[in-house]
Amino acid sequence: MPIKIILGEKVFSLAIFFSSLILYPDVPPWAFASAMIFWIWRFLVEYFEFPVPSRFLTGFISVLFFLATYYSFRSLVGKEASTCFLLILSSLKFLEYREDSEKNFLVLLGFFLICAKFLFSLDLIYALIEIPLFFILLFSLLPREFQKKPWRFRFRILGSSILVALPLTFFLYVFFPRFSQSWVESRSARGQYGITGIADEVYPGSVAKLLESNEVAFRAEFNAVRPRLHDLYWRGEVFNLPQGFRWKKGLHLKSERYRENAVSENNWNVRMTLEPHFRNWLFILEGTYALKSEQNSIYKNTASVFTSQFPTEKRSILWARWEKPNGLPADEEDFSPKNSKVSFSENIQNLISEISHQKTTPEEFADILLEYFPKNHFRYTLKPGDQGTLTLDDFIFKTKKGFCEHYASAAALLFRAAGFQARVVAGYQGGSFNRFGNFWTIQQKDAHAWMEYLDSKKMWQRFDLTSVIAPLRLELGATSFLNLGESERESLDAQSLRNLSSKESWLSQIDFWFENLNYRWNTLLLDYDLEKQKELLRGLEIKWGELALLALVLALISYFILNLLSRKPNHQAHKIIFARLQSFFSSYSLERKSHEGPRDWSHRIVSQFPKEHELVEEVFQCYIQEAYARNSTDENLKKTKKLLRRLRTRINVRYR
Amino acid sequence: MVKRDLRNLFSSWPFLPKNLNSKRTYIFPTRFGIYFALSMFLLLGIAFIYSNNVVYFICFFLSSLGLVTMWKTNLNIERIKIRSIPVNDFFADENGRLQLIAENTGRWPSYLVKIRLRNHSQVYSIDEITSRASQTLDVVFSAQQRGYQKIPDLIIESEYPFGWLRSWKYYRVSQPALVYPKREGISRLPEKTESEGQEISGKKYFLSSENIFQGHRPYQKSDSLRQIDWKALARTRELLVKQFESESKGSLQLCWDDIPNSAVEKKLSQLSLWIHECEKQNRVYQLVLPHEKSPWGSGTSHARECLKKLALFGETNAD
Repeated sequence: MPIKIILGEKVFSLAIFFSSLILYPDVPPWAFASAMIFWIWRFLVEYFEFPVPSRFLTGFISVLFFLATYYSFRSLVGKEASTCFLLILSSLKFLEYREDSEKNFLVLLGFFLICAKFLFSLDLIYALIEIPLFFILLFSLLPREFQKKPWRFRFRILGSSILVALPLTFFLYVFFPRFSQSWVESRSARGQYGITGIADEVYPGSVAKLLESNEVAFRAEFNAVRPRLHDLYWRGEVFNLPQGFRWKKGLHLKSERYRENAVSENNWNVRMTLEPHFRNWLFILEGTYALKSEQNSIYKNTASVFTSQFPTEKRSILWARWEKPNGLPADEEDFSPKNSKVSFSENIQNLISEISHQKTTPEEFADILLEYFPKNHFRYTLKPGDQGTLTLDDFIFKTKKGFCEHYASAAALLFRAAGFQARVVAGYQGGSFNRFGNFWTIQQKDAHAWMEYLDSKKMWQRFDLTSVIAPLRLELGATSFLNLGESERESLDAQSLRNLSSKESWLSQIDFWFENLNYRWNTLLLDYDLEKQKELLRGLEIKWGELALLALVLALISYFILNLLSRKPNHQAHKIIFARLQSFFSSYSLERKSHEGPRDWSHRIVSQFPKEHELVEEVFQCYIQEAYARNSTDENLKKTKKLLRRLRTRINVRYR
Repeated sequence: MVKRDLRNLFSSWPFLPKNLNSKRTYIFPTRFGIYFALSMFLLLGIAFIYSNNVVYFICFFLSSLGLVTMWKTNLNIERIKIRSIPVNDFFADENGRLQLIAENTGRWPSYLVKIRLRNHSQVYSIDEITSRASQTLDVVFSAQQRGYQKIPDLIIESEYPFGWLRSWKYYRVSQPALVYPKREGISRLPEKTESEGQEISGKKYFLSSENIFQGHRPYQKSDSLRQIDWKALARTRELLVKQFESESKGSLQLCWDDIPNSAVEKKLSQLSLWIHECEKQNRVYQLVLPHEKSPWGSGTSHARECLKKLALFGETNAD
């Protein structure tokens, strides 16, 4: 059994290894660990002459893992299950790899491993890693006889094929019809690795949990409008059912298919790219009045919450039209008395009667609250802990510190206690602006909770106590705000804080720059679908002539490249030289006679131009080399032409 | 195993015309090529199901590469022109040698060209033939029967560059090879009475140039100066004269009827061996077959005549 086959092809085996390694976050730990064990086994085989398992054993193991995969995923269809099985299979194949002919199948498996990664993530960073791996695999497809040849030779062989294949690839890529297949998506193992940014209820500590997470929730690009950071309230879910200090989703919220006039390509001003979060929420900006999604149909409920029909399981794009909000319309249900049926303690009722009176309007009450909280030394804290048992009384009269959800819940409860309609909204606030790409990135740590009350004009108005408790949070955005120390958040004045946070380190600049590139790459990949294709085809019909021209240019370029690559020796070169010699000397009536060879001819010429005998002899020597010695290199040809030119000018100058 | 089966299938390809068109190049995917194509369909399916543009791109790239390869593999063989030099006659117990000239008539080099004879296992590979260059190749083959034998078709094939496709073409050597009967039997020559040999001794055979050197003997005064081995003098400082195996042995008649009762082929084999031995020993001999006789003689052309008679023995149109 030939040991150390693989050592001879370190690069190839490393490529396969890395294309497995990169799948680490996408397969269950047990599968990844077993794949690694097989790899380690193989390396022991290579270095310490461990036995290679028999075909029977590896077959048995693969059946075991087949069953394990089925058991783990309850299916073999989804990408998770099949990737898991593919990883196991390829590592097993690598373990038992003995013959050179098996290498080809490993290469095929390697291509599949690479494709599997892209099913999970289209990030640019992965693409940058996978591209070299892909080409290494391609290289190892070249026959064994070529493996010993120099790299340049192999590059030429592969490069010429690739150069010819690329135009065809682009053609297929552009024109192959893309039908979207959202139904298959929705059947895949749902929520296995779901990122639940926002929970199903709001309770003290529920939003604060997300502060540590740098995970991107979505990205948004604005067209023609320049929003301010504190205008960006991305509404996720509305909670209108208080239970103590908790808020839950009301059951009565009806949702309908959203059929408002769709946004066309031209009139959108917000484009959002949602990361998969395995929920139906769409996080739409307050003030959005038109919305379009590529894959999903959109539903809107009476609380103006937008949801998609299917959970967002892959990155998807939304187009929206947005204006600066002016309150949200109310629904009949919002006025029903059962909504306000909450009991409050005496202390709370006393407080309400203390700070307001009978004729206070909701707007006035909001102003009262905005004054009350700062005056009574309520503090903003990032680490309130998971205080599931906290009550409103405790918060208002004892602890007096909390995160946004505390203030949102408390304010909404106080509104209710005062007899007004109020509800809590969870979502994201702000984001970080990428000035390289002119888009906003909203991360999990931008999660936020606020409340809405029904004003005297029966419109829902946003009310956020954070704006008075921690104004810097809304001024700077979560990212910069969280980077400050606890004391700085309170003691520094707004101006110096702004200066502080505006100083970007070069590292974060690179971060922004790469983020931008990644975003562009993603939209480029995601954006291309059937609609785009149709549009392209429509466009092409008009410019048919241009297309033909383009094809011609492409053909010429590829012909040129092919010629350059082939570097054929020029067999016609000596004929060209001969023709030039003939035409030149015939003007001195010294053309070659039919019985003459080149040497005799040159002697005759020399006898005519004795002063030039050296040059003439040199030219003819070169010609003889070209024509008879088959020494037709480019250099020789170049040299001959140069000599010939010199000879002609000399003779012309001296003898004419 | 499967590969070999496919090979066999290809080598007796049903739709091949009786008169092979050696200008035509055939192409068919290899086993790996078929797996590769299936994988591409699978990738396309995955890309379709998950609407994944990167997988689409990878799939299209590899498939385009496959198409380009088709063209490359085909041209790699297409531009090879084969010419052959007529095959020398040979005995059935030895291998025939077919000298081939593989010429690359195209503008690009051809790589990894394999040449084999149909139904022969041995493969001759040429790593590279540069543009407008040619390579010579000795292809060895065997023949089971005597007489004019068709040289098996040559298959010129290549799987360059990725082994996904195999393209091949045929080359048929139009001239058959003459195969002499197997040399078998007793190698001792049938020494006969000298008398018969003397009958033909009217002619004198000069065989000096073909004589075999036997050794030296001391110079005697009657020897010609020409016979002195001057080089040996320089070595040994003795006057030595070269001695050759002389034409002293008498002539022979190789008779069909002298071979005791055995099959025709056996007899032919025996005669063939004897002729071979005679040539080795420089004997003058005559071949006597049931209906014809060869003239007395010796030397390559005489042997060829005799062997040809043996090779074509019993064939109606033998001349």
